Amino acid sequence: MFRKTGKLKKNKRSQNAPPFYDEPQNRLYILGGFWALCFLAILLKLLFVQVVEHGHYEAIAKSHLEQRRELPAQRGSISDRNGDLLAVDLIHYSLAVKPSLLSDRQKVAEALGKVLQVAPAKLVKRMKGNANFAYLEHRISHEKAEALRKLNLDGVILEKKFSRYYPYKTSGAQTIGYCDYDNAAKGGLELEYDKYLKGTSGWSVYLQDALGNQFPNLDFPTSYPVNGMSLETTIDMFYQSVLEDELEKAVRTHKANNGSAVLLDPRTGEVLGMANYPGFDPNRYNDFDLANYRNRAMTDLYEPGSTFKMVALALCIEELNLNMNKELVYCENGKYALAQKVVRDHEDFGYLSARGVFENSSNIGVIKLSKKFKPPIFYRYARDFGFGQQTGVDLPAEASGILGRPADYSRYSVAYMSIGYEVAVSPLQVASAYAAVANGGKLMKPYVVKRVIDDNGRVQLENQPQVIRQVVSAETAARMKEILKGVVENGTGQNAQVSGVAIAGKTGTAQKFDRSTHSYSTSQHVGSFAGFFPVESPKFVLLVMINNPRNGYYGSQVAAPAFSNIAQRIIGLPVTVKREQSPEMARLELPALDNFVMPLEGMKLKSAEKLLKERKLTYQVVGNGSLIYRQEPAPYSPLKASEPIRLYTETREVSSPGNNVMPKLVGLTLKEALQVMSQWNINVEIEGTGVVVEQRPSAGKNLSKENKIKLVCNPA
Amino acid sequence: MKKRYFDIPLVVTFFFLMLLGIIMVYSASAFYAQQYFGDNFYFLKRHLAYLFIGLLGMAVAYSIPYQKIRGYTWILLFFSGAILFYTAFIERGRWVHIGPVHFQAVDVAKFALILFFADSLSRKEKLLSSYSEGLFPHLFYLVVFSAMVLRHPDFSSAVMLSLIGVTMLFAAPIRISHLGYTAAAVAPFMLIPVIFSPYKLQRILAFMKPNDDLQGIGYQVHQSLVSLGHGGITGVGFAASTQKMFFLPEAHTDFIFAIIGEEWGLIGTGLILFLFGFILLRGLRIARVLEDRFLVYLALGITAHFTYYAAINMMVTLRLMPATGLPLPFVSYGGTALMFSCIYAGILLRLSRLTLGRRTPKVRASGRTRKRRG
Repeated sequence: MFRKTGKLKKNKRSQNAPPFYDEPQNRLYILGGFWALCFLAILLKLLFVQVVEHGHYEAIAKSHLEQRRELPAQRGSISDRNGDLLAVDLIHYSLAVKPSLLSDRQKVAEALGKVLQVAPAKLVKRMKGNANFAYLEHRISHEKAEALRKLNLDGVILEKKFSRYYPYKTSGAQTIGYCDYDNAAKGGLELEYDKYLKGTSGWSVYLQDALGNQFPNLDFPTSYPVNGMSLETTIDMFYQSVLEDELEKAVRTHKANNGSAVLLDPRTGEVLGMANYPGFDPNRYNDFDLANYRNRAMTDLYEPGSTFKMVALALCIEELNLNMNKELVYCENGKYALAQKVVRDHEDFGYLSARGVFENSSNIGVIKLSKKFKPPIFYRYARDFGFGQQTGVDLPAEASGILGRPADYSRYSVAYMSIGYEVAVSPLQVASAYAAVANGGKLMKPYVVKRVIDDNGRVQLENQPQVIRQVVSAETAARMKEILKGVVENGTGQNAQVSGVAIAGKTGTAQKFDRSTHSYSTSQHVGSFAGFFPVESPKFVLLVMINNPRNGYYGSQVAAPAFSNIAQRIIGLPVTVKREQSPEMARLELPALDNFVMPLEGMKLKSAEKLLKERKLTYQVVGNGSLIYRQEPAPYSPLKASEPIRLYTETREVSSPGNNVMPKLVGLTLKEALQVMSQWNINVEIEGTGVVVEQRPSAGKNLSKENKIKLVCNPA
Repeated sequence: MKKRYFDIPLVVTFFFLMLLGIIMVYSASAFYAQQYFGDNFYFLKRHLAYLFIGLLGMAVAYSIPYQKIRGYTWILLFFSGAILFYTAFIERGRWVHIGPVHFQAVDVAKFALILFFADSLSRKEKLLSSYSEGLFPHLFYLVVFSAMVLRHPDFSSAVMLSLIGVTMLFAAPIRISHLGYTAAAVAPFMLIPVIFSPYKLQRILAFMKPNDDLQGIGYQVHQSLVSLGHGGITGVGFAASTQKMFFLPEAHTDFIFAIIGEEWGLIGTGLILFLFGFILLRGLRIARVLEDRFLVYLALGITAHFTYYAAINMMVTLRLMPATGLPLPFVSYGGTALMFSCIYAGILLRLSRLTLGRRTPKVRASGRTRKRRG
């Protein structure tokens, strides 16, 4: 019992004994242990951050501090075949300050404002704020930038920048393409050849703290930019501006939606000009409708109508070997039922020779001839001329066109296709096909860029003329030429005639397919004319296409006269190029020209006069045109105050209404006048040299009765 | 045995920390000072001035016989309570300005509370197991003081004050169960200031999801980790920190540990950790060796002060805790905190001197308790 109680007591006491943690001595150990754990956690995390993840954090610390500054490369320029710049990167400067580093804002603003010709108060306003960097002015010229640099002010920064400039503005804009305000290529050659043009930007590394203070860093060498390569195109800006001028006139006169013109050299496939109206100015592309950016001559399709009859013509000659003069076709007096529809001719014809069928562009005649075509053969010919596939021109977004396969043809497909319906083509394809005829049956690949030249003048890429295939034999091509020449001489293409030059070509008038009524519209048309000249040895292939003219619609009415005007202006002019150069461009070149005659050739007379008056130079205008094509003394020759600068202006009225009518020669140089007169086999008597001031007989007189011409020239 | 006047290792530890502080305050603040004050010695000069006053305070603190002044601690408590009341209700703010002297009220309050707790706990040691005599009155003072500090508003200082107080209570023989129940009852109220203050909540959220908000609140701690990691084992070298170039905010004050880690690497941070660890060990040794309970609690309070400030500062820098602005004792740039750290160092040195030449007593299994109960 006693023992038991004793044991109980003992048990009770041990139960009452405080737990381990209530021992003060142990409390110290608990505290010490807790603190030791904290320190251990800190040590472990330190090891993890400073040893294990050291590389990771080192990279972050460096990326904070080391900043790469891009050194932009100058984009390569684009020039035409004569070396005139079509697109160029201009250098300009942006002025910025670090407000925190400026000792006296007002003083700095006054010094800067004096150079920039900006009110200092305005500049001070822009320096405000706690920003570490503030732009004061953009697009500062090189001279002003130099002047600013000489001020040698602390905290003032000049940034070199590039921006694209297109001196010819709308001319050739869709072909050249454009760069946006960040200098990124957006279309045309700019886009197609971007990898050559853009160059490689360089960079330099500098240290920058979190507030934007910068310190040079000598550990990293600067990588210098490699400037972009330049393009030399096949385009001739004179031809291009003629195309655009005449196209604009045609589209406006005939109140059309738009128009395209393509000028090729059939011997090589070089694109000499490619125009679309309405166009856009790549310098301020935002102001224009997006549709105007499109190079419709190669991206847009249309049903060609009669210009497509050249495929049927090639078949008739090469495949069927018809005697074009003797084969007679009854043209049903202008009305012919085909597939529950009535096919009509623009004029009622009875019997026509095969030649007559093509010369007069009789739909019924061609349809009747097409009955002899086997669909696969017809398809092959159309395909061989390049329809239904891309021509391979070096421009982006080319359309391939639509050419059905024989397996999909209906009974009437070949009939309709032979007169240019049920197919869709681009203007470039048609021009290229006609170029094949002009080039003895050889289809050439069209191309726009001749050469890509790097910064050191080395040729990096050269496009050579490339034969795609022999479409028809040279003999067939010659016979086709003969008939196409007849079209212009006797048939529907008479409006395309140019006195003194033999032209071959074909008109085309197609009704547009109206999607709302699912039938061909009677009010909407596409009028076109495709041809080449001179027939004997064709140097130019030209296609003019007018979309939806409302004032006359036949190709012979709307497109052929434009064709004629273009041909005339191209042939009638001397080799010396005349083209418009904007005054801004000329002004850019001015500063270095204090003691030299500035280049004025290619400028508008008004702009040139303005420039000359600004410089207080005496000048004399010769001719009554608006464009300067030649100047004396020549550009860059030493300037003599005593001698006035003579400006020879273009005379656009080099026209001769008929075949044997004396053209207007006054205002032309002697060389040009003789070139014009070389069309006639008439002796020319010349008095003096220089510019023609008097002519006998006067313009408009019949030349057939004359056997002598006298030209009086202004002695230079 | 010749009587030594100083605990030399502890003196070396304190002066080493102060020296590191001088070097690092200069290194970390030079860019900042140059950018905003045009003088890269701007902060160093001020830091040295505070340190000079601090060293004077240290000498004074070292020369006071604490056993003799223990009866007057309530006067200090009353005085500091009055200052707290003034700053909490009459002129709200952390700082007190008396003539040319500026100091933070909470630093004085902390000093007073440590002394008062040490006196009160040692005097009432035998009654502490009773709730009404033990935990309750002490906790009352602690809560009143902390609440007034909260009004400043100074959340982190209030937390530190409570933390040191509770640690001293824990070291005294109050019942853990009392502490536990009270903590459970008070905890919900503790959450109130956190929940009703959006920026505290944001800091906690930033701590929980550090990668969500690298630009905002998480930025500072992220930058501090980058600094530490950039240093690696050997560091980038004296004055070569790049993070102090305005990437890491408050580089010379609350985040100076990160700059030490960047410039001196793991060697530097390890050394700091070791030095504070040594202070902790020395403090615990004093607490175990001395027999005067007042001095034991005083040593514990001061040790808790150094350990908590150092540990929490480092843990914040290392993202082991939510961001809060606490200085690293002796090293962070200036202020009252530096001066009071010097005073605490003086006290600790004096207490440590008493332990010189004495052995740490062997642990007797529940000996003291038995004696007390017997």
